[in-house]
Amino acid sequence: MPKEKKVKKDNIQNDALNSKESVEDISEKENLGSPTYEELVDINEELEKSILRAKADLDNALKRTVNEVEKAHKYGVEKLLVELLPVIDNLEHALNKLSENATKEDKEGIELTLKSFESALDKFGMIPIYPVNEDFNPEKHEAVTMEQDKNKKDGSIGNVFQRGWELHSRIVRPARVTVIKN
Amino acid sequence: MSKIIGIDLGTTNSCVAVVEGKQQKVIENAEGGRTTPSVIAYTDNDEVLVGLPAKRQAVTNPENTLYAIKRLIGRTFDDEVVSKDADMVPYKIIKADNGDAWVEASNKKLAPPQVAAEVLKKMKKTAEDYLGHEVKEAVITVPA
Repeated sequence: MPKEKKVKKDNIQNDALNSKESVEDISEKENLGSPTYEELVDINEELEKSILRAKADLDNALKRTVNEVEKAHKYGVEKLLVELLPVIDNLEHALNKLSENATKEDKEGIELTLKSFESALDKFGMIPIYPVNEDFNPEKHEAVTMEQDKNKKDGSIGNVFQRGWELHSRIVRPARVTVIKN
Repeated sequence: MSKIIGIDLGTTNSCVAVVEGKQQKVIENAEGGRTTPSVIAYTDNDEVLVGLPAKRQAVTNPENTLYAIKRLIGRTFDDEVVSKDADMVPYKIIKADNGDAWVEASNKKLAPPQVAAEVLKKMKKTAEDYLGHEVKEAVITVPA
């Protein structure tokens, strides 16, 4: 094989990194002798196509990587925050079921703790879902049971058992609610 | 060049993945989950819900919330598995003209593959959102 031709073949191989097939085709054709002009045009066309494909693949991979990094930043804290939610739930329960012996200061203390906890979550983009007087929406709410209430229309929310939470418009926990069905 | 996706169509959960380089990658759905519940709901306002939203409204709409549909695919109504299922699930399992087990939801008679296709559609959409292009080919696990 003349030296010039070999160099050319190496270049072709480099260009066609992702197109093993076409490189094999070329080698096959070369074994048969010098390719004709038409064959070279075909090979060139194939290589151009494979370069375009490789470029598109790379572009897509880059876009995906940017998206992934963005998501990782946005939702990286999700797991930790979700694990912390029961603490908030418990503080809420504590407030709702304070014993008679509890002083005003006890109540205030829990309220302030709850508030500071909520504002910490807010800083990370966690927004509570507390759907009162809203229609049931399975994208954000989870129906726990059905309930009858003549004052409310079918398909609306009766009671909220547990608040839901949303992180950058992703539902990390749906609000647990009862749904009206008369 | 459009990528080929792989879908695991499960009885309770489904999953979609692609091969990136030489590594497989499970794709997260819009809700951030790596698996999607194989639950399909037909609502009063002719909406079809798939996955978590369908699961969340199940108590409000049990007759039209279909799950474990994979077990009915390819079975006749008289099949033992089907009659066992029919006693357990809140939705209606009916006999199609050709003797196959079909389901009824929102007054529509549906073939199990048609219902399972809703899950596949959602998995395809998940993959398309991630890949950024239309997906035209897929490998799907053969129902057990």
